[in-house]
Amino acid sequence: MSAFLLCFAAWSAIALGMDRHHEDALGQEGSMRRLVALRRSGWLLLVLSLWLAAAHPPGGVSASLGVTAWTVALSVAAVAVTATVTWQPRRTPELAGAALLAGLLARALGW
Amino acid sequence: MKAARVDWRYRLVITSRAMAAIAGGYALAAGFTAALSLVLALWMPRVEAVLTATMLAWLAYATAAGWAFYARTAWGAWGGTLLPALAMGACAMAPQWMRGTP
Amino acid sequence: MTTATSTVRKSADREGFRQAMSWLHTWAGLILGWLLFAIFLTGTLSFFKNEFNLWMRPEMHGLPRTDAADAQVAQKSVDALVRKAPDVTQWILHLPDDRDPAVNMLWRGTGNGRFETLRMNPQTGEPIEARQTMGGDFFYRFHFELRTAQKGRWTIQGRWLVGVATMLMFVALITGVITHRRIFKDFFTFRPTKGGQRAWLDAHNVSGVLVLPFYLMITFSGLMIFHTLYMPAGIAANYKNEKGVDSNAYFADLQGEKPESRPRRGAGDKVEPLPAIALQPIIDAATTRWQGGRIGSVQARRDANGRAVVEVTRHEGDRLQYRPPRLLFDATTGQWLDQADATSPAVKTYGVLYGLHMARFADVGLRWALFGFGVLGSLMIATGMVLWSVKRSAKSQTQASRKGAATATSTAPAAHPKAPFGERLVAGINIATLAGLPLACGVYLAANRLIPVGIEGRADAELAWFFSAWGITLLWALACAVVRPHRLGWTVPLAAAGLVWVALPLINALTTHTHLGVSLPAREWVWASMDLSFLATGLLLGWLAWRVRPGRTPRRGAPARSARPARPAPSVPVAPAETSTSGA
Repeated sequence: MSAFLLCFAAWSAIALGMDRHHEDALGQEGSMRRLVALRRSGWLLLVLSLWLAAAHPPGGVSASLGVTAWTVALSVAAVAVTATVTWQPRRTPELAGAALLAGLLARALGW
Repeated sequence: MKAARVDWRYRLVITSRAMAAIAGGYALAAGFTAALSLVLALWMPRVEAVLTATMLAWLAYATAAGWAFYARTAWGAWGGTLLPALAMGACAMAPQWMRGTP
Repeated sequence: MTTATSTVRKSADREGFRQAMSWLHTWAGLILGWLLFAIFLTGTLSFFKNEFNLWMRPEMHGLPRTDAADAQVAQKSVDALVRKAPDVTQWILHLPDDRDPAVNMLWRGTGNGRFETLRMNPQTGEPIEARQTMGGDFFYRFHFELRTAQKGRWTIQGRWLVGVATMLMFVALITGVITHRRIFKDFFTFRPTKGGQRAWLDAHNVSGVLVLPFYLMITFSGLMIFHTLYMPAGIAANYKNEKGVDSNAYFADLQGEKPESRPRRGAGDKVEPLPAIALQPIIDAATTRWQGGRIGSVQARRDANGRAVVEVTRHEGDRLQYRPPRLLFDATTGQWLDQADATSPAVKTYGVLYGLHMARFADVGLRWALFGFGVLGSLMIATGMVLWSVKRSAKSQTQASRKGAATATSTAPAAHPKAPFGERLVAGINIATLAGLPLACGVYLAANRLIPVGIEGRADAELAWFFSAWGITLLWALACAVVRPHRLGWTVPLAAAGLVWVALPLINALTTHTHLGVSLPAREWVWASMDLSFLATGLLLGWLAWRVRPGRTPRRGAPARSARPARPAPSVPVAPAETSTSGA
């Protein structure tokens, strides 16, 4: 669960770091710096969530199972973010923030 | 692969490339598997060698298929698939030939 | 050669490469796209084959939950089998788990015959008289060997054809990635409101890219699962013996066991029946060795030296790598003999690939996610095939209107010039496969409830309903293609499919006592979620049928040449062309 939420936040950041989706979500073009920063933090968050899945797999399962579950969560989150930027673009930033918080909370609870 | 016109010559070329991709590619992959697995078996148990070579062979097959349609001519397509296939096949059969066993 | 020229040449080369790969992507995908869709869809359904097996045998409803580690379960079942077939020479007993409450017993007598199947009550060991059906195993076996009958005999040929399709899918995936020009920029781009080719291409790209790791894994692992059939050159080169190729040795190496422990029987081989076996000490020993591990199955057979052995196999869901580890015991003394497991790196990799493909490791959440990926993969194939059709019909329409047929009036209904035969054929096959297969699956499930229990050849009768429904859709689609491609061709099969799937819970209620009225109050989630999923599937298919119904988008009067501004209309297969920016 935490993998999905963190990946959702990460993919959202990467999406918002693209011209097209930034405009759709926030109504204005983002500056080069902001876009790059968003994309970089997105990728960083993806790597972090992978590390968490491998080093501290939820549920006490093996690392390989944790990484497999992360890879599944990665794609599910990507689909979810695509749905969000397609049908609810303006809610993307809030959902991303909520997912980040919820993901960290879920991680702390061991999910 | 934009054809000036879709006539029998064009269809022949496409068919030739397709055969090079499908059959030539398979021969290349099979030769690759046999040759590489024999070489790897010098350093690892044979089941390991066979599996490693077989897994890589699918990539070789895909590459050969790509080559068959990227090559400038259909002859080039065949050259790029069949010649390596024969070469690797010969390598795979070489230990047998040298020992003279059937 | 100046640098400018070489850069231009390099980018021209790259363009030529991309174009060649684009052409290859289109044709690799198109040739067997309809078969790939069938393989992908039935594979997706197979993720839930245990649940389908259960739903299609309502007689299994209400079985008590038991613990696999309880040796009484195994012993009672084996005793019941030996009472029924005293000369049994080999049996394989699958213990109940959270997805299947019954004991599944495979057994055979002397000779090299097929295994017979018995389903048994876990508490009493008594056989359960369930209706004769292939259940979810039909989707499974159709998926990898195109099985058409319960005791089908063309399985090797089927596996070959599936292999060819898989290789084409592999090539299509790789060339698709090479061809996709803006794979990162367009990562999340989906514009269903744009209509026409753009929307179909977006759908194809999005369903393709977002789940790419899954598709690459499933395709490559599929090729490796049957590598002994598809690419045996390595085995032939390394496993020679006096008689040719020592495949027994290879299979043993693959499973991490000794060749003598599992002899292959010739037809008509005389094998001694098994002795009486006390399972309690063996099962207890296994449970101790695997602290915390579940027992999946127990089997008894004779090894190459004629000694009776018992093999306890761990549950397949306990780890990623397939096959699970096995413990070998002497059947008469109960003494532990050996543990068989593949531990070397390449064999482990092969095992993990196999295990990822079969997804036995997946719990409910992961399983639904993988099912979703399978649906997306089927959509990826489907949108690819429709995209080709849409593009081609747009191209031939523009060509026709350029040839001077500038007489399109607003009153003329869908005045399509007669499209070339190949185009109409593909359009027809698209309908037959993409709409026909969901319809056929629904009909198969309905047949399971409607065909009387106990008649001869019942399992094959259910398959006959499946293939007939598919065949009728094919005839309908070909008729449409001959007469005139029209959206009605899509609406009718999709609507029929929606109707059948929605009706399934109702048919279930009328013919069994496992319906929602029973399963929901009792919180039997496996049974209930099947019915609810069928309902959801039917509603989805009905919605699709509604979306593509003819007359939804009013006819556009002006000639089809100009790109119309997008209206908030859904993408439908006959909108006029927009120039595509990437792809074939």
